[in-house]
Amino acid sequence: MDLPAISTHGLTKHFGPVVALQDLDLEVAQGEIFGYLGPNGAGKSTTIRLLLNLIRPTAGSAEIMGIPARDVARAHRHVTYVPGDVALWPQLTGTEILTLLGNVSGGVDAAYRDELVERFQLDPTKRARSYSKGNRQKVALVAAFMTRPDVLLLDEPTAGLDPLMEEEFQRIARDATARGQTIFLSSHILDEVEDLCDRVGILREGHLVEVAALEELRRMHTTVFEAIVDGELPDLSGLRSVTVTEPIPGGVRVSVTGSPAELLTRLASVPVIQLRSHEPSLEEIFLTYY
Amino acid sequence: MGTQLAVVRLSSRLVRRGAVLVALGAAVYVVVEAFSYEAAYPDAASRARLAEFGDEPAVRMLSGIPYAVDTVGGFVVWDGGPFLQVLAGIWALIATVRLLRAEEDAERAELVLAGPVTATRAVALQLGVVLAGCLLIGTGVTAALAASGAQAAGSVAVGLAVAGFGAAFAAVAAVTSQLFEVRRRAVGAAAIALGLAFLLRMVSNSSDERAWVAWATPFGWMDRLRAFGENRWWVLGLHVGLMAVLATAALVLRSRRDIGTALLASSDAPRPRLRLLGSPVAFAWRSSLGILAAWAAGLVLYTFVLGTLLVTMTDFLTEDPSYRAALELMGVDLTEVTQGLIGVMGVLYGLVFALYAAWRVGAARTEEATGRLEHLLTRPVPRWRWFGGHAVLTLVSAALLATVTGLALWAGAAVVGSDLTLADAVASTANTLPVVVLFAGLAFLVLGAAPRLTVGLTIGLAALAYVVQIVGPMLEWPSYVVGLSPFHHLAPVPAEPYALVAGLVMAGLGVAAALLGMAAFERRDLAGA
Repeated sequence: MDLPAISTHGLTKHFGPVVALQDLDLEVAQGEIFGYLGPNGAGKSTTIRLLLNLIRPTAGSAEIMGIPARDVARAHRHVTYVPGDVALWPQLTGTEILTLLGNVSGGVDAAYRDELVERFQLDPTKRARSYSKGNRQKVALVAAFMTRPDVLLLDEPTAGLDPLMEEEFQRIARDATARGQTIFLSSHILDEVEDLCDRVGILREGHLVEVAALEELRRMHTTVFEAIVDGELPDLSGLRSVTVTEPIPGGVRVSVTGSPAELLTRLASVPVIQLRSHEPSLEEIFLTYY
Repeated sequence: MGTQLAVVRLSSRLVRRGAVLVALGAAVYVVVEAFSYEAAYPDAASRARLAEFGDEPAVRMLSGIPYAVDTVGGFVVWDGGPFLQVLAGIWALIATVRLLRAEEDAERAELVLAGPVTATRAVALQLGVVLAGCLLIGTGVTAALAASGAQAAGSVAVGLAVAGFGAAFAAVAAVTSQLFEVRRRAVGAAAIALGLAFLLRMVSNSSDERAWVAWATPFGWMDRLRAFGENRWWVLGLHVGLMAVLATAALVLRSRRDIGTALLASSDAPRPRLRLLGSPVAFAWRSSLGILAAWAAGLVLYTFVLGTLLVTMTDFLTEDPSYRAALELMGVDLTEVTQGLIGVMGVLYGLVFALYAAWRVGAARTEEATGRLEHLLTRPVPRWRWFGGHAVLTLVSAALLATVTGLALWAGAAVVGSDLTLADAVASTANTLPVVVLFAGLAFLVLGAAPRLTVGLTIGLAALAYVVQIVGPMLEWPSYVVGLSPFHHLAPVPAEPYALVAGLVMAGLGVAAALLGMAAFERRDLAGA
């Protein structure tokens, strides 16, 4: 089996009394787009910064492509990073910054870099001072993709991008994984993760509470039924499979975990006009963890 | 009204800590000066000799025209007045640019201007806050003077003059903040104005025919105030007038520009310059070149002027046996008059180079604090390489500064036909490098261990060590106290041979401190602002 792109073993970070991350055990396979979900302050950025050795673990360890994260001279040959809030040198132009970062990284595919600049519609002749948040993010994205690294650690990389650029980013990300590159995408934009990711991890207050493929998550979780009935609603209390009940005009919306057989039995006793069911969105799954 | 109060509150919160520290520092400095006066000139006879000695041309050029130096207040103004004014002026211009330009650079000013307050009103309020800070510093000076037994009216006049000096340069910085779009350019331009004002003072004091030049520089106004004697209060009107004119100009300029722009803005899309972008070290060199050139230019100008005064000073010294005796008492070896003078003055360069080194390490810290360092350290760059690169560049830069300073001193002296050799001139400035290595090493240790204190702690300790070396012997402090100051261990090269052992020990300690700092930096988390 291939070496995992990212693996962590009991990775823990405390800032004084604050537990930012506790006992994270995670493996991300090569070629995967892994979505890392959690609200602000859950420990997403802490994880990425630990993987990059920008901060030191309180306990545990991490590896990038099998190389210990603290061996930056080797590990960082395989990885690039886009921070959530990109700070650039205000006096340098986009071209100058991309040249600097390319020289420091080594192995830039110049034609691909120019293509990325084109696709993100970045004007690299401007000084960074005049860039908006979105443009600064584009510079960091181009710099991250232009060396075609094995692993990309992206911390909410599209927060400042407009919807068109976000789509472009998704295409570029898919191209990258098609070539076997791995993307670790921290986000709280659930649509983006839903569109892009194979597997997701859900983080709550420094603890990883779930890791699963999206499909698996959906199966494990509730199915939502909407029943419109003619007349009075059946009594749905006491059903162990029903987790949430809420009234809708003319009927009821019910979330069911596991088999819907019980629910269907009850509904059979009343005249049902319409019965619809859908799989839960990532958002609905996500919310069940909080 | 509430919004304006909020602007004042926010602004004062951003600058008040610095103002309090500078006010305290100024007060302590005044007290130390007063103590050293009482110790060195305890009786009327010695004070009369001081007045006589201070009225000689060479002394006047460097230290200004003494007035009422038979009083403690007059002495403090004569000996320490320029320093107090520089202190207030530099604080004021940095604080002003901080409020008027840096907040705009960081795109925070728009949060304030989104409220019901006009841009010009905000500038006026922020200048008012800096003015209050200047008055606080002036109050510190006044209180310390009065507490040291100086006459009350003179103490108030001097405090107001120091505050007025600060206010004038706050107004200068308010104008440069409208002209330049980057914080350090606005600071740099205002600092150049301060340097020119100082040069004008030297010119005005160099001969009686040029005395009128003093009216053209705020430094000269302090002398014209004649505190602790005539107390010519109307001179303070000059400070107020200059401030009012420049502040009005700043308001007019502000009203003519949009937020985030500058009246002398450089192009937003310049031709890319791709030199020195090849590695983190090359880039660090590129980033520091502008400021290095500015320091070099200032030092070259100052030491060149000093060099041109050398012949006048040595002639005066050789002709006046009583003055020679006095200087020899102070420990100056005058068998070779020029070398003796150069050797004594060398200590000051050590302080200036150490301050440069602290600034240089502070620039490295800024890369970390802003998060820009992460672009480099998330690439295959080990931390020690980035840290070590900055350490080497700091030393190279300090050595370059020492060399050009020595060259300029020699060139100035050569113009007027002094017998100072190039080797002696450069030796006198390069002599201080072990102290610079020590303080640079300390700065790197702080960067590794307590990054947020990098510049403040290093500058504070360097200034303290310098003061200990200057006033300690005069106040007859025990040798183990004075010996704590690294400056104390510098020999007055070229009058005496280079203190090799002391130099090696200090440089060794500096290198050890830097290595410790590197080890600490390797182990810690990167820290934001």
